[in-house]
Amino acid sequence: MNQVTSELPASVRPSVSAATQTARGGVFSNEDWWSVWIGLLLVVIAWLGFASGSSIKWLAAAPAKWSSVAQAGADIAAHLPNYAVLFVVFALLFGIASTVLKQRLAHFLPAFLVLFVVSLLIFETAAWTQASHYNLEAPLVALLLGLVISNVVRLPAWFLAGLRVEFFIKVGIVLLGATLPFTLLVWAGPVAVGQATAVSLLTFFVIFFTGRALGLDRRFAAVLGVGGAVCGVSAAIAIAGAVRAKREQASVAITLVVLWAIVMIFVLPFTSHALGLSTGVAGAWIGTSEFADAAGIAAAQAYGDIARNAGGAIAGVPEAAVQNFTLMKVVGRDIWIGIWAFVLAWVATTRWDAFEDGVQAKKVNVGEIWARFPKFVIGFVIASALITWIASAYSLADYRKVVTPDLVAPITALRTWAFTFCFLSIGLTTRFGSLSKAGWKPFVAFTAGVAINIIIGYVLSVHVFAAYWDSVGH
Amino acid sequence: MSRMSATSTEIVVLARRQPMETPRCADCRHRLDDRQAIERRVSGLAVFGSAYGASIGESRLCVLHDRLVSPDDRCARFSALDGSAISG
Repeated sequence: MNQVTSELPASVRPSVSAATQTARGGVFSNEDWWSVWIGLLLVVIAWLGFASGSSIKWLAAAPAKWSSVAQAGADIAAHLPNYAVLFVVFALLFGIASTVLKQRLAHFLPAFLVLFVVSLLIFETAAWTQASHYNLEAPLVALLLGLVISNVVRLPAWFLAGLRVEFFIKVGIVLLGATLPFTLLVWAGPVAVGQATAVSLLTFFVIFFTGRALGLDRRFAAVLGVGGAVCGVSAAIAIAGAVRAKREQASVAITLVVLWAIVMIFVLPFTSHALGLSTGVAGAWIGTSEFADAAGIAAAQAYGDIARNAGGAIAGVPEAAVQNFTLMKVVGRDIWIGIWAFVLAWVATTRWDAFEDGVQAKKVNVGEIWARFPKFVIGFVIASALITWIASAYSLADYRKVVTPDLVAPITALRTWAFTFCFLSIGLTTRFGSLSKAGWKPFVAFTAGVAINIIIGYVLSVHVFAAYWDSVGH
Repeated sequence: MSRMSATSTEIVVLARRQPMETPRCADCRHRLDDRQAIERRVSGLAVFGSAYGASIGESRLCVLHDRLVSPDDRCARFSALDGSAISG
């Protein structure tokens, strides 16, 4: 508690400048909203093309399987105009968002061009017929390549402007919604919420009380706890803001999330493979136990790719890994971040110290819940409902014969591009040397939560709800 | 922009009975309302997160206290955006 030394002069009035006021809210005010607009715009364009008897397949180009370098080169050359148009479309959409959000467009565009070209090369590598033999799944290649480059070479500051990990993953998740039946969200949602809530609460309290037992500050323990329990870095910065944590506390919590999230990108898919888990069950486990959306999508897509190339050795359709991951992580965990922020802000201001370090925290209000709500989930749900409504006019046979190739497949290809931008960006932005030194106490507290999270997530996904997640996966 | 750190003895705590008459962090020059700068200062934030997302809400960094604050928070070390301080 800080010492009270004097009172503020009553005559003091701030000079309020409208130009410097932070724009509150607004449907163009953050990347979440922009991911909704960009994702839904692409879905609507795909729908309009489909409804007019055409398709955006020409736009959503992707490399074909190849077995020789000459074949790969010819494939790239043949589709070069398509890739050029695709780049222009993505650059235009992301560029507009970047400009409105007051990022540097002059830095973003050249950086995004480099990102696009390298993503194409990764995409092409993963299309090699022998790629699966060497575990060259696109997410893992993108991540490893990015990690090697960023930790060996000092990347220029302008290039970092194009590496918008969260933005790319949110656009990809909205597009993913267009490939999930709305009925699946309604059916699987409650189970996902139940499982995720049980694991989230347990993980939070393990980290929080371990941290407190080790002597960590309450605010720091709360930031660590929610970072491990809910949605990683987004949760850590949300709770750091809600409880008015120190910058260093947020940095350390984020460092621990990043380190463990990257470890789990490799551990969870390969462990799932070793244990022979179906794609549906593995997706649910990854959704329960990964720490960040982008990391989890990378792990789930990698497992889907492993299953696709396993020749039937892994049960379940490959897409089920990403689908179940998303149901568990986005529907089960992410949407509660506003509630966590509200509750912990209330605890911090009424039960802890509202005058921490001389800063008087405002009285918490329920608006906090909506302010921090991950708006991209709205786009994800709308995209799902829209495609489900469109598909309802078709028989199952016609859906598979017409709707899937002409409408759903191009959207899936666009989604894969967005995810690849994201995976490469993760690697390129992760400079281990620039992360904060965590110290052993936060590390022990967070790692205790990781252990509980992994074990309980495994038990619930693989034993308690295995049949359920398997059925969703089929 | 000031980067000095506040110590407990320097801090002038607010008059609780006059909360509406005290300046808000939103109008203080110590509040870093620059999301790009926040990403630079909070290491790792841009790897799996973003200062441009919804989760950060209106929280911003106070460079004086090196702490996240909300626009309606208040502090006796307020310094108006035009540079006029209130304490000392």
